[in-house]
Amino acid sequence: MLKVAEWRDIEGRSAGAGTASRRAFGGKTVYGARVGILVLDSPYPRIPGDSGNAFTWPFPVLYKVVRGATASRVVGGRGEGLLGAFLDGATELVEMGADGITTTCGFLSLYQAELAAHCGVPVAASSLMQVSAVACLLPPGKTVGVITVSASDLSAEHLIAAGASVDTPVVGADGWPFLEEPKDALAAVDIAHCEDLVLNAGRELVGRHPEVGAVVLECTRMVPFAAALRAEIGLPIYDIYSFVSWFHAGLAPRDFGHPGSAPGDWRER
Amino acid sequence: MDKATTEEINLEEQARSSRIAYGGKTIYGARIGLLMLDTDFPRIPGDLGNAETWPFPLLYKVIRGATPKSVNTDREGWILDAFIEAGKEMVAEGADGLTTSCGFLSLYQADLAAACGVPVAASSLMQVPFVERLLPPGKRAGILTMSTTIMQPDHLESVGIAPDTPVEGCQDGQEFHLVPRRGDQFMDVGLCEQDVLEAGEALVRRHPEVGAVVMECTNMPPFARALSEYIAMPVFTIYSFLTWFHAGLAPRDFGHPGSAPRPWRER
Repeated sequence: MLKVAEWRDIEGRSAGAGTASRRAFGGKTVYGARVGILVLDSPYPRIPGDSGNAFTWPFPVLYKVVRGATASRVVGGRGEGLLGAFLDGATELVEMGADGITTTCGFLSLYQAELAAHCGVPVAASSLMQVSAVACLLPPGKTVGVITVSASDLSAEHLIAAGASVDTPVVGADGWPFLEEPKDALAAVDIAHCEDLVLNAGRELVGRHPEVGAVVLECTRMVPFAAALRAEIGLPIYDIYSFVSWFHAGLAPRDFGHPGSAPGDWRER
Repeated sequence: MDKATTEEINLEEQARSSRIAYGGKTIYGARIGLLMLDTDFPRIPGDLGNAETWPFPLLYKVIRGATPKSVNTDREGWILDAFIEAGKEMVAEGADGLTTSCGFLSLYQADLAAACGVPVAASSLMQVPFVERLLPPGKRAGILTMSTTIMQPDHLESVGIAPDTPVEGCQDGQEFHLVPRRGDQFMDVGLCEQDVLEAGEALVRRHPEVGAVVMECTNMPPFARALSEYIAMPVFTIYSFLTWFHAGLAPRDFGHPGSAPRPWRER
């Protein structure tokens, strides 16, 4: 019978599981925050549920604001001229301690491949990447629908980059205030109005496309309205919250304690 | 006394209507129905069949006679219909989505979804293409299964997984793969962990293109954390899959200001 202590090293490390070892290994600067979030440069409030509000997450995250990456430059402007800043931001987050990268904008599916190739960790750039996963859950004849901040800007290229079918029904929450310049420094937003925009878009989506069996919300600011939308249209609603929570669950699998786990070498990298 | 303003009347109206509750189910709060094989080996915290594993309630139904052997080795024909019947029962009770207790039941995904009319997340294997999408070009998701002798091409085909996906099994281990068929109600968890870690190590040594692991077996999540640290890569399991599944069925309410009282319903 092979004893734990006889296991071979993986690149210099030995299997510490169940050895009662109290050795701890380094390699990062900040620990415990496994997901790094690249944040758009926006003056608007981020309420609980928004991916840029730290209280949203049931686990710690690291944030890096990409200065100059405004919503209008990323959405309408397709992020032109900003790729380098996003790559640098991702590298910084990984060096600090992030084991996975995501962003606060669904349109950044366009950067998924470059980010993944550049920063050496898994990347979950956009909520849209869930579309084909959700489609697999549904009965035959049912499809996934998307609600976005701007249907006119959400192109086939964005969908393809996210692995989503170009035939995906898409409806926009027209008049989404976060895309516009704020009226003043207070940057106030009527959240009830935003909820109405999302609910209206949902009603339009299922009205025009009765084959829709589940919805994916493209925008990371739509998460607070997912529960109300679910109650309104009676369909499952996936968003950046469900996506990054799943992402984190793979990066840092839950420790279920005794008897499944026993003390051993401690490491995050 | 001043007359109530229009705004006050509207708010009062809204408050009254927001405290209306709608029915349609018998049991509430448990959104996922778990169709379980007929087993009696220990299910420790982390195993999908231990209710303490989940941060939310589930409905459970055991399909009597559907043992691991009858399902996976003998592939007895009556079992799918029994799963469908049980699935429909749980949907009528209150489940908004269904899953199963065996990763090999990817085979049932399409039929269960078609017959029961709700979203179905039959097998952890379904995560494979989506895990791969997170990785740099050239990196693959690798599958860790209970046994590569039980796993057949149709297990992967049935849920759209590429046939050349790297796979490794625990069938050369000492304990883990024997537990479901041994018939005694005992498990050496330390030995199971060893088996899973050795198989995981073999997976990444034989397939250096693997950048993340998907565990097929619903008994494996207790060992996911140790494996992830040992091989230094992400490990996805039925736990990550069903917590994601549930998040869409029952989106979290983040409170004020994002949400305000509204009529209550689950169906």
